[in-house]
Amino acid sequence: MLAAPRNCVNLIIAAGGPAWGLDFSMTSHSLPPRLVLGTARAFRASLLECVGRAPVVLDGSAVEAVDTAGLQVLLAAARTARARGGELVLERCSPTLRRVLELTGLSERLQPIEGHAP
Amino acid sequence: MSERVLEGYREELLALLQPLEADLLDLEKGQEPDGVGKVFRAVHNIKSAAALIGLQAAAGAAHALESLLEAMRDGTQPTNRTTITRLLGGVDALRALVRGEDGPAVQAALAALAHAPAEAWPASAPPSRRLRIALALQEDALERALDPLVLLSAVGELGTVERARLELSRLPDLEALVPERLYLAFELVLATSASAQELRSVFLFAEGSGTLEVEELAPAPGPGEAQEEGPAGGAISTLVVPARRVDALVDLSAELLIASTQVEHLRQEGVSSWDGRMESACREALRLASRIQEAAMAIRLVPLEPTFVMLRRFVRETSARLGKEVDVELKGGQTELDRSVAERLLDSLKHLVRNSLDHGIEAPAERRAAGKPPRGRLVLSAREEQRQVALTVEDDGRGIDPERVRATAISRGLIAPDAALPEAEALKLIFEPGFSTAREAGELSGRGVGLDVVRSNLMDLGGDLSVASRVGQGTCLALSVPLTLAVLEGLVVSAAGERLVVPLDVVEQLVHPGAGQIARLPDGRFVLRMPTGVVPILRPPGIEGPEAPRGGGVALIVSTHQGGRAALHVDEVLAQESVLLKPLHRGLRMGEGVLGAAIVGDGRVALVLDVAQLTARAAGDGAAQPVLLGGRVPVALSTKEVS
Repeated sequence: MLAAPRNCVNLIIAAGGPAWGLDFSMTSHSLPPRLVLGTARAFRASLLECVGRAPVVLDGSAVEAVDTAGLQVLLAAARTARARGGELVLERCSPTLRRVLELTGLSERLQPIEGHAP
Repeated sequence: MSERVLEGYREELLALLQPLEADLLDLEKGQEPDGVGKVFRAVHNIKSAAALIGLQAAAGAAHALESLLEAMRDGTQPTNRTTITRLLGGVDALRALVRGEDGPAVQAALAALAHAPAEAWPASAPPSRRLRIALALQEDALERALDPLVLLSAVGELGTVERARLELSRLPDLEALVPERLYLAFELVLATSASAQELRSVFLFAEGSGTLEVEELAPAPGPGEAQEEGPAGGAISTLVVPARRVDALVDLSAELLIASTQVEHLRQEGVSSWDGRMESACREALRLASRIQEAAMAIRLVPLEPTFVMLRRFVRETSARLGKEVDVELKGGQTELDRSVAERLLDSLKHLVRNSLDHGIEAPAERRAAGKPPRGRLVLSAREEQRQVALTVEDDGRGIDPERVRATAISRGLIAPDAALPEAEALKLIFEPGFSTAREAGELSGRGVGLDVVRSNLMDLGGDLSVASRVGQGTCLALSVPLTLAVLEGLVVSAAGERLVVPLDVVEQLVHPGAGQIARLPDGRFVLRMPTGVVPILRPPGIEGPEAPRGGGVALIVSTHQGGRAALHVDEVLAQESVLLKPLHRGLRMGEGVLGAAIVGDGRVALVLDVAQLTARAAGDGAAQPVLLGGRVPVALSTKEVS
């Protein structure tokens, strides 16, 4: 059986509004406003704590700045979540976050979460 | 209707579209008396089928195609390039709809089918350039305040980002990640009217910190013109397989079950493994297992025909864009090869065809001045040749001038100015990395996306690429790819302490030559005297040893499809085995005469000989040449999986 190629990451980005219909026992976190080199270590530490076997929902509405360091942490977290049997879900992405997803081609992997509209 | 049944019907519809495309291309050439009628009937069938299984949107698209074809039949619409382009666009739209995809491109193509005046569909004015920008900075870039995302964002402001891609293979897990280190590389396609100066200024501070590639891409095509990445050929989840191949597999599985049961019975009876019955029962089971493997691989074989149709369209669109007139001849479309190899081959072939159209075939005026017919000729041919598929891309264009190649290589620092190179060697320089034409913005080191990439892609597949050319007459590029990862039945032999595998299908007989049977010709060649005549003796590649073969040992008399006959003189024939042929790692290319490597029964690595090449060479140029990498075959051969 082939292992999944290393050059991919599973990141679920909820299109549109909040991901209704999700089981509320899933942990949900607000992403801090600055996902940048200076805050990357702290960001990584907090993600390491919550990434596990349950899906983790990250609310991106407060994100004002993203740089490569912050993006790397996010993508590595998505990969680790998958490896641990969980999942990383991004919802309510701010315009800044959306722009980053566009520039990196990640927005093409939009997978809307099945759910009931609010 | 269940999804699985629907899927099967979809596949059948898609299969009908491919001959339809070929018919449209033929229609453009105007060779069939009732060409329009034929295409009309084909589209009508597709429309009925689509409606029957409930694909209304696809049926609607087919209807639009039908009505344009009707107008062509009546004469109210001409059968010219413009209408054919609209029809091809309609076929692309139909294909997308059958797959369940829709979108603005599909709608635009369908709108173009309406009986608009027969002018070219006015495409929206394309932006001035499309650039592919790839940025890979060094690991410590972030620490030096160089952030690729920030740079790309600035570049993104200069135009529209058509698409983007991340290179993630170096990204570790969250635990191992060091936030200050850079693990990502980026790539995007930008449509922009910015100047080279503006682009360069964005990356000014990043100079010297990594690699930046900027490549200008062809302008975005309008509807009906093929996309760079090609329509069809996306991931197919179902296969159309001839029933007899499945039957063969089923039969073999049943036989294997019987054979294995036999082994089990013997074992339970306490029969020892030295017993002849046990030995032959095990051998039978192994034989069947390897035949099953072959049969399973055969199921993945697809003909090259669909690839050829895609290339025809590609030639049509590209030659128009370049202002060249080209006739394409295709030979050997029924040649089969492994599905995944075929998919990966398409890009290489497109690249070579594009080169031919761009640099090889001249514009009509230049051709007339050279006394050539104004329409260029491009011949694509494929044939199966001993476990490989050999393809050629041949044109009757201006050929490759070895002097210019030499000059370019010198100017790129690839060879010394005074290096003396025979013509054949000079031509090979076009495969050197860095040979391709200059990059755009900036002096950051870039890699040419050229023939070196095509060749290495082919070598990764276990194949190769070579070129032959005559100035003023044309160029021929010869590719080879492995047919499949099939199992090869071969004789494992030992020669000078090394293991070699000789494919069984070329072995005629084995003889034990006495010293008197080996003779030396006046031209230095050694031959074997046989009752039927004299046969040249080959030295197997990779083998050191005395120049003159002595008596003793074993000579395998081999003969190839081309009619060549030779003798391979070795020390001993060890066993007959089924081996899995693996391509050699690129860095270990042994030159001619080697198909690949295999791991033989005793666990050692053996070279598998390409007997056709060896015999051809022996017939051609006299004394068996020493191979490029003389001496012992390294023990740790890195054999690469072809997936």
